[in-house]
Amino acid sequence: MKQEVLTQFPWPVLPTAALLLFFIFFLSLLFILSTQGYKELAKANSRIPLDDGDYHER
Amino acid sequence: MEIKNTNKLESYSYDDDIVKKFILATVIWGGVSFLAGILIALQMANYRFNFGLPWLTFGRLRPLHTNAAIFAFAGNAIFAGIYYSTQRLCKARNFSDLLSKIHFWGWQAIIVSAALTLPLGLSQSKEYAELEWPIDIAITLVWVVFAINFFGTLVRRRERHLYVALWFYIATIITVAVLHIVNSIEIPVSLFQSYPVYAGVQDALVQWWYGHNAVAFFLTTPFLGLMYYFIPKAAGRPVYSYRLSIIHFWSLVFIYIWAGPHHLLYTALPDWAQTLGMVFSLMLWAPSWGGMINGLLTLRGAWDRVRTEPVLKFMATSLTFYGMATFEGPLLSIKSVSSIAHYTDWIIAHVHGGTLGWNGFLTFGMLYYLVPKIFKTELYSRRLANMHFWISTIGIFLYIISMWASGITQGLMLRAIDESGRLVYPDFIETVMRIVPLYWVRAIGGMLFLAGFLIMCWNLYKTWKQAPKNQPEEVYQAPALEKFVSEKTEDSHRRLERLMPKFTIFAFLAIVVGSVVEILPTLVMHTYVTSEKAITPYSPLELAGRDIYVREGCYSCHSQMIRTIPSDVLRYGPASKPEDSMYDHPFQWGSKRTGPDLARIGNKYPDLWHFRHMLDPRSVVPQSLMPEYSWLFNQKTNFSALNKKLEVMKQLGVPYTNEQISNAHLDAKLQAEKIASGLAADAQIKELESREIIAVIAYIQRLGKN
Repeated sequence: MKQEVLTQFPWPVLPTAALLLFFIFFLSLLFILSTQGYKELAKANSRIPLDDGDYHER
Repeated sequence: MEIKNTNKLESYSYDDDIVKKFILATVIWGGVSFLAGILIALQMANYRFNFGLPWLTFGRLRPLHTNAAIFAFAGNAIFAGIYYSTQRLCKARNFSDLLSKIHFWGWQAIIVSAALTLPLGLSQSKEYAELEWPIDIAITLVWVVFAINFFGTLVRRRERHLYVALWFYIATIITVAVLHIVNSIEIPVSLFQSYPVYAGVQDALVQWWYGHNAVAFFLTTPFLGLMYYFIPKAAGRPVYSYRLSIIHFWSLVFIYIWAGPHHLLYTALPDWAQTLGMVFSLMLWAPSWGGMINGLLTLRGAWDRVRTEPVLKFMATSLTFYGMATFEGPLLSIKSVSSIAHYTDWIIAHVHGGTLGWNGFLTFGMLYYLVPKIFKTELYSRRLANMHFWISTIGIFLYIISMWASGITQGLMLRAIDESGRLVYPDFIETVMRIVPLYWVRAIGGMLFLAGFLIMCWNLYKTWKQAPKNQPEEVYQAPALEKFVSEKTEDSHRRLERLMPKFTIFAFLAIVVGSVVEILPTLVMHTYVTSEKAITPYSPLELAGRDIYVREGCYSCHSQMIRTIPSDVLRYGPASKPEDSMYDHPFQWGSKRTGPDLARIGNKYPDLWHFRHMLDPRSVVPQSLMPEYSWLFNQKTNFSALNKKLEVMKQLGVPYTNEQISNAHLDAKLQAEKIASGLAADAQIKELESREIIAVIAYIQRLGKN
C-alpha cells in the first residue's frame, strides 16, 4: 500500500459537488439577504434579545 | 411584514432554578478542571508531581483535565446560558422542568463517572472521547433529554422568529449527537472495556473528525450562540449585522466539519484527505473572523463601558481571543507550519488560547451578568471582578507565550539537520530539557488563572448572599402565536428562520455533506488500494500489553506515527504506512510528543532496558520526565480475558483463527515465560511472567516489527 497510490483519490467529484452546492447556496443567501425587504426584517430581528419578557410579535 | 396578533395574552414564568444549578456546577467543575490542569502542568515540569501513584500519573490525569474542562466546565456553562437565553428568546418556559432536572443530574452523574473511571485507567484513548461504553450510552440518553427539552421549548414559543443564537444551539445539538454516535461505535469486551469498530487510518480520521468538531460544535457554536445573546444584552445594543450573522452561521457549520484531517498532516492518512482538511481550515478564516467582527462591532457606541463594566470587559476580551485562536488554527493547518508545530506545545498554546481566553472569559462574563440578574441584586464587587480580569489575563498570556516559545523551540530543534544530512539534536531528551523552564512558566500562568477564578467564586458567593430572600417568581405575558400564513413574496430564508424542523434538517445536511465526503472514501479505502505486505495481528500477550499501554494513557506523550518529513524519518525510521496500524483498535498515533515516537521502537533496546526504564526512567535516561510505573511490576496480567478480547477483535476483522482464540491465554503465558526467563537474572520478582510489565515489554518490542 504505497502513499503515492493513496493520492489517487477515486471520487474527486464528491468534494467538487459538495463545494459547488455550498457556493450555490451561499450565493443565493447573499442575494436574498441583500434585498430591501430582508434588510428591514434583519433590523427588527436583531432587537429580539433586547426586549425579553415584553410582548414582541410581528 | 406586520401581523396583528389577536390571541389572548398568556402568562408564563421562566425556570431560572435550572440556570442556577448549572451555574453552580460550572463553578465547581471549573475549579476541578483548572486544578487538574495545574497538577499535570507541574508533572510536565517535574516528574515528582506524579507522586508514584497510578491514578495521579500524567497519562491518566490528562484526559481527566480535558474532559473536565470541555464537558464539565464549558458544558455546564453552555447549558446554563442556553436554558437562560432560550426561554427568553422564545418567551416560553422550558418545555419540561422534569426533563431539565433529568438533564442536570444525568450530566453531573456522567461527569462524576468520568472523574472516577479516567484516573482508574478505564479509557478508550480517543482524545475527548476516552469514556467507556456505558458512559457513552448515558451521554447519548442525556443528550436526547436535552434535545427534547430544547426543541419542545421552541415548539411552544411565543416569538415567531428563531433568533440567530437559537440556530447555533440547534447546530450544536444535532452535530454533537452525530459526532458522538459515529465516533463511539464500539464493541464491549467487558463492562469497563471496549474496542472501537474503526482501526488505524479509519479510526484516526473518524476520531479527528470528532475531535476537531468537538471543538467546533461544543466549544465554538454554542458559545457563539451565547455571544449573540449576551453581548447585545450586556451592551444594550442590537447585534451589529444580523445579515452577517446569517452568513456567519451557514458558512461556519458547513466548512467546520471538513477541517478535522488537519490534525493528521504528513501522516499515513491519504493525501487527498489531508489536502481537503487543510483547504477547508483555511476557508474557516472568513466565517470565524466574520463572527468575531460582528461581535466586536456590536459594542460600537459602548466602548467606554468596556473599560468599566466587567461583563463587557470579559466578553470583548473573549472575542479577541476567539479572533486570535481562529487566526492561529488555519495558520497551523498549513502543511509547512504543521510540520514544525504538530506534536509540540505550540498546539497546547493554541488550544488554551481558545479554551481559557474564548470559552473561559465568555463564561466568566456570562456569570457576572447572570448571577446578579437571576438573584435580583447587584454584583458584590466590581473591583474584585476587575482584579479577576487582570490576574487571569496575565495568567493566560504567561501560559500561551511560554507554550509558543516551547513549541517553536522544540519544533525547530527536532527538525534541525546539519550540512552532512544528520540530525543536529539526535537525542530527543535534549530538546525536552531545553523547554523545561518554560513548563514552570506555564504552571505559574495556570496558577494565576486559577487565582482569578477563585476571586470570581468569592465575588459570586457574596453576590448570592446579599440577594433578597423569598423572591417571588416573575410572571410575564405574551400572546400565543397565531397560525401564520406565508405570503408568496416572502423570501425562502425568512421562511426557514421560523420553521424549526426545516431549519434543523438544513443544518443537519450542512454538516453531513463534509462528513460523508471525507469519511466514506476512507472507510472503503481497501477497495481502491492494495496492501503492500501482509500484516500479522498482535499476539495475545502483545494485545494484553497494548491494553495496558492504552490504560496508562501512553499516547498522551508518545506518538506512533512517523511523518513523511525528513527529520522524522532520520530520527525514527521509515515513515509509517497505513498497514502498520491496520489492526489497531483504537489507533495510537497520538497528538503530542513529550517523549519520542514509538512506531518503530521494537527491538531498538533489549528487554532489560525497557524493564529498568518502566521501573525508574532516570536509571537509563537521567534527565527523563517520565513517571515511574512501579505498579506494572506488582499487578498481574489478566490472561483469562484474552480469549474474549481476540474474539471481539475477530468480529472487528482482525484475522485471528479459532485455534488462536481458544489458545489465547496459553499462548500468552508461553510468550510471557520466554520474556521473563531472559530477565530472570536481573529481576528478583516472584512469578515475573504473570506481571503486567512483561506484557508491556512484549507490546513495545513488537512495534514496527511485523
